Amino acid sequence: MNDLEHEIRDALRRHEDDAPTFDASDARRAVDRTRQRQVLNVAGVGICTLVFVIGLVAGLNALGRDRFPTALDSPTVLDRPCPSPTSVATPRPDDAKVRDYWPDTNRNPPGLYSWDGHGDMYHLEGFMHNGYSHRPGEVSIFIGGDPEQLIPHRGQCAIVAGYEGTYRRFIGKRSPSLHQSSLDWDDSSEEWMVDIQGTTVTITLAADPRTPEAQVADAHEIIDSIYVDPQDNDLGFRLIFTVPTNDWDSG
Amino acid sequence: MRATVTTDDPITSGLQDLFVRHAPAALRLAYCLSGDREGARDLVQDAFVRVAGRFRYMRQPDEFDAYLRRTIVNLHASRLRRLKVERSSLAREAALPVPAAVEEEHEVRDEMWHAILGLPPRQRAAIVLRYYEDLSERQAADVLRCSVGALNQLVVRATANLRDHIGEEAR
Repeated sequence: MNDLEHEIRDALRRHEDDAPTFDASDARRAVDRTRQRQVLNVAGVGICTLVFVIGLVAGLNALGRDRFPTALDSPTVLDRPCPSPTSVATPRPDDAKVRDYWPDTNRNPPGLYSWDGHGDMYHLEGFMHNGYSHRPGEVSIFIGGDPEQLIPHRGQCAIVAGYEGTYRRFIGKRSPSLHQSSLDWDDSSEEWMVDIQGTTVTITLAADPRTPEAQVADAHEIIDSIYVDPQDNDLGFRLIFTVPTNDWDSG
Repeated sequence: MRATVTTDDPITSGLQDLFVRHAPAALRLAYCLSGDREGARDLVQDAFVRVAGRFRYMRQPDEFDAYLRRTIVNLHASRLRRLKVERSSLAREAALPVPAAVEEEHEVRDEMWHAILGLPPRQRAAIVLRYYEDLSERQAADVLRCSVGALNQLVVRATANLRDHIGEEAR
């Protein structure tokens, strides 16, 4: 240390006696302020944590909704009470354009198809999936009818094909209506159950987690398009729906 | 000086002990930095509230000294920055005649002390930490949140400024 540095040190040491001293009131004031600050800090941390958790939950919910459309997406899900079924028009099909059958096991062109209580040649229940898409994942639609099937009370109100029914969404498990299906995954599914002229029609949409959103959207579009065409058959009607692409088959 | 304060609340009691233990040295440091007795008192209060308010004294009790020292230096620097905003009004006040009592008090103080107080804040802090607090280069650099090289630059510039100032006074 050189002379100047010694001089600096001496000057500082000489003046340390000028420094203020403290008394009990200083300590009390400091402690009171510290306790207030601690309370504010704890409250702040609590609020920040709460905001973070709420944001996290909301974000995860939003991600879930993006992955699998909400009940409000399709076909029409409403808060109770539902509008009267008669208030929704049932369009009359242009018979010439409607195929009088369910999509078969080969590639099917887009257009109007129907379900009259029978599916393809192998099933009574209608089944189709995006078999011809360049898919990393599968999305399937099932339509079945049962006069004795009860519609569960638990679920959201939904209008399908102009009739009031119930919508349920199953996260991480398949719908009960799929219990006998051959799906090899247990991911989320959606289910619409509606009483159409005394027959409980159950429509189920099941999507593999890897299915692109566009493919799931196509499936919702198909369900959205369903309407009732009165027929002289066992059911007394058939359901007509639009298949938007040639990706769909019942194979 | 050691104040005796008693309380039933263990947290309050612990904080008071903490303050009593660290306040004297903190006040001396704050005074060396600011040259202002009341300012030093406020500086220590605020720094203590900040450090203890964040429960740092609970997490690393041995580091409390270092946290408090760093907070005092930082608070002092930020106060000086705020004062720059008021520089014009301070300049007007400086132009006013100095009261006789204050003039006398200034006469008592030595030139080096005046020169140190006239240094820019970071240079002054570097000098105080190195030559008053006797911190190592590494410790002083940590307090100032700079590299050892930057600290040495501050010290070199500060001593050069002091040398120039003392030299001018001598002439």
